[in-house]
Amino acid sequence: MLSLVSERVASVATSASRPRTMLLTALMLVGIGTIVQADPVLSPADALPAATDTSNATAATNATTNSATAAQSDLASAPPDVSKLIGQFVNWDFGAGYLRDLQKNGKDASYYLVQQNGKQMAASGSPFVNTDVVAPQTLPVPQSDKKSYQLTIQKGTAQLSGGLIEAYATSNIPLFREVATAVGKALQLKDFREFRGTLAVNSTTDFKSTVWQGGLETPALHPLQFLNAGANNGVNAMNWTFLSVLNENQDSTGNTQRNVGLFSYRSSLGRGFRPVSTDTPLTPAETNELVAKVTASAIQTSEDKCIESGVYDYGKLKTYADSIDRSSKDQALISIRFLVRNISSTKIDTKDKWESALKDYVATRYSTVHLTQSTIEAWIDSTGWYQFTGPSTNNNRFSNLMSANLRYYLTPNKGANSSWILLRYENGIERATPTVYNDYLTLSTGFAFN
Amino acid sequence: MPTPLEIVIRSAKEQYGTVPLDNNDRIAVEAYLKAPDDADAHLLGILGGIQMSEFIQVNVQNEWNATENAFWKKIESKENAGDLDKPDGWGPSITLDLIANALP
Repeated sequence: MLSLVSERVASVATSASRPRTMLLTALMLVGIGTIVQADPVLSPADALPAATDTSNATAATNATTNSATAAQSDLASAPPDVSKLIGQFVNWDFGAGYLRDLQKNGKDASYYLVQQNGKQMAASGSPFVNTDVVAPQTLPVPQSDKKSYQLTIQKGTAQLSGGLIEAYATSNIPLFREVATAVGKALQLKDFREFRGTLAVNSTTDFKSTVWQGGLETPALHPLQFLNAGANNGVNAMNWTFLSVLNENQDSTGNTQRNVGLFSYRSSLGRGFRPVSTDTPLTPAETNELVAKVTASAIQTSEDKCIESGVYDYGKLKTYADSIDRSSKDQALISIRFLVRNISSTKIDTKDKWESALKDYVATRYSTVHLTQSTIEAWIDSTGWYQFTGPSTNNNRFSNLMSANLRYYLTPNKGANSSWILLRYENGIERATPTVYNDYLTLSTGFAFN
Repeated sequence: MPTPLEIVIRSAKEQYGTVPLDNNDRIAVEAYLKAPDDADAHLLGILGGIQMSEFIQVNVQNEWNATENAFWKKIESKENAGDLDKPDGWGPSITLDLIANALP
């Protein structure tokens, strides 16, 4: 995470460096095999199972070379732990891409990244390598929203001081929440109940150049929610916007300290398409077995608690369900607690109804396939600010940055981090670098072997 | 008094502005929100297995990282029970039944 953010910041001063061609994509794919096989941790005997990996021609060839030695050691020892080997072999991420700078005199660039177990092994062409080719789940927080707290210390990213420190926090402020609740009720705008306070500090590690920023921001607003109105929830697109008002104090080496006032926004609009399931579905026999097991256990357990002398007592059942440990991992107990607390008592007011509902619930819960990964994702992020006091850094009171993204997952059923192609268009100015104008198109691809 | 599941689903809808992407799950959520008291065991079975990633749809892990705390705060404020512990398995693939069961 730190290295990713670090490269992103470092890239500001070194944009569009070292142009390469898309041939790198193919070259790096071949390179993966070589790197995997060259893992010094593995002995020749350990490498033997890799020969069965038909997806890696290089590994297979090299493993065959080692097979004579491996066969001898296999005779005298237990077979290696294959699952352990798979872990060592396949936890690799690879990404590469090409940037087309659309500005006059802009320079095109290519970039790639190879990492093992999250550790960067080789990379070139930041900053785009960080945001475009890393597996989605390892990306830093997107530009359009923030975690509650984050501290980042970056080494080797500033020419004079040697590093940068970045910290920020967002949290609800009780006083403003109360005021906002009253205002929200009066205006019937419930989203205004939860204003968040924000505080951010950016500094070089020698603290000679610092920027403090503090203010208030709204919770997630949905100004485009009308898109989701109507039959079938309209386009059902995820959309949110945060608005904030900030005071920024800038104190840099050789410059006079100054304060500026800002209105800013962060927003996102996106939708997935063609959802698929990432779970391996159970066979009908496995499903039946699981349902029978959970149901029998749940019925037995609950009846022990709520039926005395053959008399069913819903009140006891409710009390028992409420008493079940909230963090229980027992599927029968989870089912009892969830069902009893979410269904109307009139639907389970007899022993027969309870048993029937329980069977129906468990059968549906564990046999229904849910679709959780989009095949295609399309989204637009935008951030911007309006400076209402103080001297402007770039002579524009209003500046913003917009990115439009289209990602296609080649193997969505294997999860979001398996393989994808990402087309991104970015235009505008980032607050961290108000004098740098971006206008480019990138095409990236990523593969993960997990 | 809303049920724990209703609190979770309404919080998700308010946080992300969406209902699940999958058609069957979307229809189940719509039916439930219209008349939560009418939910039968079959409908609850469908709803219980829905994962949060279905609401988020895009850039799922990133969005989850950035919004999960605000989402949980929303649930807590609706539950009106102060600070609660997030359930085991808290992440974009957590199912609605596990979130609902974490409420007192």
